[in-house]
Amino acid sequence: MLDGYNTLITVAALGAILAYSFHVVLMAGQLSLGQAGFASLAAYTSTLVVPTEPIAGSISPVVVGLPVGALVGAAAAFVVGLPVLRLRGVFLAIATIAFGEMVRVVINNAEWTNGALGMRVEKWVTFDFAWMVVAVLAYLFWRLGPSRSGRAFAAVREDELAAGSMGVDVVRTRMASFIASGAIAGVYGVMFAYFFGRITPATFDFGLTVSGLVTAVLGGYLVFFGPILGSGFLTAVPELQNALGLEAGWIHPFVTGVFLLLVVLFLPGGLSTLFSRLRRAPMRPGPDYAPLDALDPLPDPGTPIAKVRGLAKRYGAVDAVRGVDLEIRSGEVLGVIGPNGAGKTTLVNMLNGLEPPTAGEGQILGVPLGSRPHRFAQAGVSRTFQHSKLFERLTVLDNVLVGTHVVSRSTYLRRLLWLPSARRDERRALALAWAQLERVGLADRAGLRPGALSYGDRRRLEIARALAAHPTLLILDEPAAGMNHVEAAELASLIRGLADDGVTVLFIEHNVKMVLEACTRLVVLDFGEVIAEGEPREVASDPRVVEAYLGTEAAQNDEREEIEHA
Amino acid sequence: MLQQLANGVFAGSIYALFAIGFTLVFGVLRHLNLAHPAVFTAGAFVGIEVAARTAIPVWILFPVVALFGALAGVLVERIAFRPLRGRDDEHFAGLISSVALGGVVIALLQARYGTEPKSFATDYFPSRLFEFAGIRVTSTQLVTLALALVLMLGLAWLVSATPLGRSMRAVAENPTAAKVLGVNVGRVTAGTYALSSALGTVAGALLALNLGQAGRDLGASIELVGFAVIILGGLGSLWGAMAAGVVLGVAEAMTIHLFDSTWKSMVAFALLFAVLVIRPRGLFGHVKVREV
Amino acid sequence: MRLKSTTGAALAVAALLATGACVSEDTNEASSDSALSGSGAGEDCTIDETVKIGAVFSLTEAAAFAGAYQQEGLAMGFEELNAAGGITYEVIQEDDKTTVEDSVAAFEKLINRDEVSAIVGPTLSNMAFTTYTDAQSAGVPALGVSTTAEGIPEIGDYIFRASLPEEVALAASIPAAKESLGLTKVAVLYDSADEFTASAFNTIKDVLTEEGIEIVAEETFETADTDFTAQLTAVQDADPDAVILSALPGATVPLVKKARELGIEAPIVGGNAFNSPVLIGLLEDAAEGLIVGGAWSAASDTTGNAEFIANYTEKYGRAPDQFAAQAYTAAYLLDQAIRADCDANREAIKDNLGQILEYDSILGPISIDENGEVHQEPVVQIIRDGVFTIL
Repeated sequence: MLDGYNTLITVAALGAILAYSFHVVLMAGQLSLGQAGFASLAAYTSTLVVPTEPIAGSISPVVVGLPVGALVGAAAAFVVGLPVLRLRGVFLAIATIAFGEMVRVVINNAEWTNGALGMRVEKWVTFDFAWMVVAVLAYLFWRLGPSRSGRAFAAVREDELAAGSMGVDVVRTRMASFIASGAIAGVYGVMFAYFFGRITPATFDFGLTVSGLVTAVLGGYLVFFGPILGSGFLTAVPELQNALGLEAGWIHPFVTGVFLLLVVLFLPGGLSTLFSRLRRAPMRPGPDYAPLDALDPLPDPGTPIAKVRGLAKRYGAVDAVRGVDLEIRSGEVLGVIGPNGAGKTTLVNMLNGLEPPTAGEGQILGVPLGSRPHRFAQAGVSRTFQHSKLFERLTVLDNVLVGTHVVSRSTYLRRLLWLPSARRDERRALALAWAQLERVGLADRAGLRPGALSYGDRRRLEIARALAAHPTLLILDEPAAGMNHVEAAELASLIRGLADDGVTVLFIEHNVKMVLEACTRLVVLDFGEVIAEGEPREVASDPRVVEAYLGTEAAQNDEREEIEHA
Repeated sequence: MLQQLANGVFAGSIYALFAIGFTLVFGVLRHLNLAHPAVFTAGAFVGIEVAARTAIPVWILFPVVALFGALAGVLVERIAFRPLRGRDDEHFAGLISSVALGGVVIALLQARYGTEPKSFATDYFPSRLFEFAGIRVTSTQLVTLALALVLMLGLAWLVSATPLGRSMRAVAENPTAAKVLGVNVGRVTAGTYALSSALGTVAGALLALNLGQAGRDLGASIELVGFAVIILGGLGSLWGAMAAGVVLGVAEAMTIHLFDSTWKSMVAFALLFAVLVIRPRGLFGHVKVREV
Repeated sequence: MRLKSTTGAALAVAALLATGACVSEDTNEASSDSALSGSGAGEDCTIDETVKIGAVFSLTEAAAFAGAYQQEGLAMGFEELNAAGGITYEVIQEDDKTTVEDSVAAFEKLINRDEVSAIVGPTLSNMAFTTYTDAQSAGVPALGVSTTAEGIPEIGDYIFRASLPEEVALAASIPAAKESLGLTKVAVLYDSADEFTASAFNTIKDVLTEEGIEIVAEETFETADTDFTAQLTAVQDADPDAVILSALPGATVPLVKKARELGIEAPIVGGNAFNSPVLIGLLEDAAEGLIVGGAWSAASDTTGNAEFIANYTEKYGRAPDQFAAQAYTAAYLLDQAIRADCDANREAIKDNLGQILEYDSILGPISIDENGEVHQEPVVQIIRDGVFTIL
């Protein structure tokens, strides 16, 4: 039945493989376009190792080439990744394009590759073989999606700062996606070489990169089968036009372009949007899960958990924070107040590693100042943000599940093998996340996206996500901003409840009433310096505090606000 | 040596012209408009057709082409970018929609002009050879360089001294704030695209005049070098793009002169890669202050 | 634990792959359709069933400059043959969009779905290297009309070409130029990223060595380059007697024009890719003095050439080029092979295509040997007053 359509079917499979190499970086939010270079290196290398006769009489010799190609692609990606992964967005895209072009020129000028004349090999790839590889990739991505690693990819894509603060090692995750992309591109290169039986340096050019990117985005990079949809669509459109008797020539590229445009404009998330209704609503876990079991106990009240001395941050000529000494003990609720631009957010950013201090020493939960955010998160520091940093394209529940990153184990490899322990771990994380949603009163909205929530609910969601990490120290940056007084009162009681559970809370707030109600200790910052510290009511009546708050606030606002939240 | 230096400057002025249109849109709107190469190609074809039909002189031809380009730019923004505004995946989707629109434009060019390259009639702008201090220069090269200079200076003036330029800088700095301050962001966006595409189409027609022909892959052939130029110059920096275009042109000519022409294609990308790794803001870019 | 699960995963993947990784040995039984063999012989041969001939050309994208002419030339050839009677041909035309993927898919369609007797094309050698292995293993004769690269007929006994190899064209044009111009030192310019031109460069070098001509400058470029002055300056500084250029049409026009603009007056010698009236149209005055080696010339008085040019020009509204002429000839060569045994089955065409001896075509007397290689006299032309003239 498939006779006469083998090439089409195989080309669709190859397109899907190429698209998967883009899919994996897009999943992690990286616009990396060096795949043509990885594929080229892998394809040329594979010609050196693939045997010329079938193995054991009937096995395609390409099975030797695939791991070699994947390895070459992955190694090249690692080497290229070391310098270029510091870059973001368009810079990363263009640096990787440059890498691909450099590979092309080098291979074109090399002797052993036969230069522009290219190389010929036997055609060892059949269409069932190609689809088998696609099936394996699809399986790998299917199992990746709802795993701890898959959520880490999504978190990095949506917001790197928030992901890092939730304990995701952003650098490693980006590198992992980059290497995986290199490996898959390598597999593509080998498959291409042994399906068409011929490669030239021009095979792996910028056009290949563009078509891979287009396929991946067209299919949708939020679901695991996106690349297959994209590739199937792009293979089918010209065939449909042929079947409809449309003249080739300019009409074909025109129609394909228009289709592509329509999909991109009207189906955000690509063709997979059409299938999004099939997604199941999140299920409430059964009652037999006690989420807080097996979590590490929090330190006894009164234990010192953080101590910093001489903490300072300079932006150019502006001192955002200077000479701050701070000690935090377990179980306390420490309020940090101060006028806008006093350096509060900068201070807490340094406490969880989002910004390196320019001076000062100390440690938080044993992690030295200046470490990267995920180290603090792993030690038990969790936080919310003044301007909410939710993962907008994840559901409310998935947002909170990312929060469980530091208290759960990696499940991906075990999920691949369907080990029961992976399922147990995932259910435990789910129970933990669900408990937090119930704690803040969002359980009935678990399946929505954050964009559909009210302002107050978004703040609560941030708190739930931070709590899911089972933090020792919880940092809340203006959690009540924009809440009405009923909501604020609820929040204050939630915070007190947390303290009763043994969570240490550090929070920045403008709402003085709430600070006085909730805090056990108060620190007042002005112009980056601590001007008062102590028991809340005493501090509140300090004349310097009153002046800082009421005296000159209006004049200082704008300029420094910008710096603080840049 | 001097001759090669001059060759490099002439080649680089085309790179720069292509790149400033690209970088203008990125600098103001943070869009990477991948339809730009297609519009560039369209500029070349339209220029050739208008020249053949009307026989208007060069100095009227380019404004006509620019007008066409401005219209095309507004359309590109309307079709490929505006509908995506505010979407979560605006960034990636804009890349793909502009690639798709670029494909449509190229298909339309094929519909109108067929598959064969087109060229200006030889007597449309007869090229003469001049010699200054031992350096051979053709009149097309001189016109290209002069026009490139005029356009770049004009653009620089426009951005720094006109109301549109001021609004563009405001939007570049902070679109939300600009809106609050009463800047019509929609109009500035359209204006930016119009300017960028006008520059692109003129650059396309100039390149066609220089090369002696225009094929449908004209834009694609300069696209990658264009990427290199805008990064080398510092993404979003106009002066940077101009300087980087010339630097790259000279570097390529020197590679041919001193080493071997087989490595010429490597120069742009090796330079680019090195710059990105060592100094990601580009040779001439600043860290935070964004020049338009 | 971690190690164990990784190994487990690898094993599972390997097991899965192994099932799909088996090489199936497809053997093509040579099916023969008696309706495709007719009665009579040679001129009088009649075959009742329509003979299906596949054609794969690049009608869109990069190589469309050639594919469009080939489509027209081939179609015209078969129309004339149909009018002559006896055998009815149906040409099934496919566009490979200048991509390997579409080329391979087109061959598969023609071989398996349309079950054609023979295939003409593809346009580019690059694609032929991969599609011809499929034609060979399927047992379908394929006749190339522009696949000039080295090694094409060697792919197998079903593979033929009626396209003069680039090395033969150059091997003729360089000595001819040497003789008429007295060359002692030349500059060579070639596209290093294209296989056609890169392979031609190897030939050029050999021929020059053989002829005792010195290479004083050797420069490369890529078709996609937007500026060639740096290379041309290097050529100019070397002050050669002639410039030998191996370029695709996309770069030929800019290079020749720019060379003339810069004041390089040395004659420019090229191969097959130069042999096109379009080139003259685009180059205008700059085309003067180009020396072109090729398989066909509008100026040669070969049998039927004048009628071919007249009919073609009337039918399509433009003058034919070498691509059109070669594709047109291919129709007649296939017809010869079929009429030889009055049999349009694949095997018969394969057996007879390699037996064509001195067939009198518009390209001149043309032969195809049993290895599938073409033999014909190359034509060396020079452009004088805007027309191709035989040198």
